[in-house]
Amino acid sequence: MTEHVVASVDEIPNGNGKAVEVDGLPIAIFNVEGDYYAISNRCVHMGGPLGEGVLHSELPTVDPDRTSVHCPWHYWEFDLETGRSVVNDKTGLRTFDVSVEDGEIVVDL
Amino acid sequence: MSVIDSEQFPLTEEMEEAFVVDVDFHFRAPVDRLMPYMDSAVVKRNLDITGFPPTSCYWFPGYSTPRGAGGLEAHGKLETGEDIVEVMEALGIDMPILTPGYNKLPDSQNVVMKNEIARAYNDYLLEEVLPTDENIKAVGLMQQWEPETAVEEIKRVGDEEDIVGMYGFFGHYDLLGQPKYDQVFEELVARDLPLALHGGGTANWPQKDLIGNSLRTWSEAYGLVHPCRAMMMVGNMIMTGVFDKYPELEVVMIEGGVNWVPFVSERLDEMYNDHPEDIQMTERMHRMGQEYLDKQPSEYLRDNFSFSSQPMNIPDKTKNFEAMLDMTNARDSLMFATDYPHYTVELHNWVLESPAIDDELAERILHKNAESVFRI
Ligand code: FES
Repeated sequence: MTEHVVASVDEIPNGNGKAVEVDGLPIAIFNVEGDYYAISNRCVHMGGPLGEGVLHSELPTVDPDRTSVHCPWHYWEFDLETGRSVVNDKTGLRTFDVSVEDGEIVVDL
Repeated sequence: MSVIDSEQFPLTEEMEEAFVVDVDFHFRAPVDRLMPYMDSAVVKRNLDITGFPPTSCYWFPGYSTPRGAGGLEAHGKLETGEDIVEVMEALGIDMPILTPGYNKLPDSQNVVMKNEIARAYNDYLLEEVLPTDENIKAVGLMQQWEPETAVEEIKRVGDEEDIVGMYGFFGHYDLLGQPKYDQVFEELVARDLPLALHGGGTANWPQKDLIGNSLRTWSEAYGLVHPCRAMMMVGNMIMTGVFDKYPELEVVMIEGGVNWVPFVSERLDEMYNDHPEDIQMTERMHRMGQEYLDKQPSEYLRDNFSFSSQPMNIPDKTKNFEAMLDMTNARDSLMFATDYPHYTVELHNWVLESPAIDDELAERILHKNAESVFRI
């Protein structure tokens, strides 16, 4: 496992995401009420980017009550802890360990 | 104001480099853009009061996709040619073929109003939208509800260079095997224009029959109804001899899915070989005095139809996807589509990334098939 600094905490406000690349892997980082999560940034459905964009309905992609994120393309919902689809645990996305060190967000890969 | 959040659609270098024709890029100009092109004072007055267009629709995507708002404009609201250019850049699309975004238009029973809207939409395209960029093409909206008016419209706009086909619906109206549509096919064939058909109307399936009234979920109403209707349209046109009378007619099925093509090919061939004589009782074949179809049903499906890719429904296993592409005749018939700006949008990443698709097939899907079908 190698630690990679991917962003500083100021870059990702509460309820937001950011797309980063680590060793060529697209990863989305989310801030849910001060807890940070890292999940693959390529949706298992058609490759949509979890960590980017807004929804035109103006609802956020992140649901803090369910600790989940919706893909901005067709809204599939993934649990940020496990990466599993909330309606089909046979499908889902890879998640990664995240920590915060001195105001920097670190992903373990 | 930006019409799209481009961050939502990150493009790889490969996606940017590929030349992409999108055969289902919906353009739903708001009614006030069409008003200056309408002649009828009474229609204008009504639209002014009611907004656009007054319909009854018992389903809408927002019902089950709260994050997509109304679903139809989940990824942007376009009004002008400049808006379209902005989206082309954001999505990596080089040539959109604009399809009218008025999929609920068939729900309005007012023919006078629908006629005006179709004519005004086509004029707005020609006057203000298509001249914005030489790569913007469109299919003209056709008054399918009144074939005589559709004929006039094809005569009026069908020779315009950037109108590359005419647009109708595979839902809601009589199936196009009815002989009253022959006049429409004649005009299309005379101009070498394909007929593009898309789902639409009465929330895809009329509520007032046993199936429509039983639908409870968007999965059924959207997921299954478009393909069902597309299948019925294909079967009806083939079995009533449309392509025996108009062998040059090309039909583009948009958003009806493609995975069913092998099944329908086999099934129609089988049934036709069981009962070949019943085609003699269809009005067109009876009048033509034709005993049998010139070809097997599957051959018309292969030769006279092509398909938009979205919804693609890619099988998980590469070998199954390869077989599907082969069995659906993707090499000659499959054309990439986004369905932008609906919530069901698909980008061309799947064409470039799938191991089942080599470079040559990718080029065919991304632009060559469309260039050939739409005579671009
Ligand atoms: S690509 Fe993510 S939901 Fe479709």
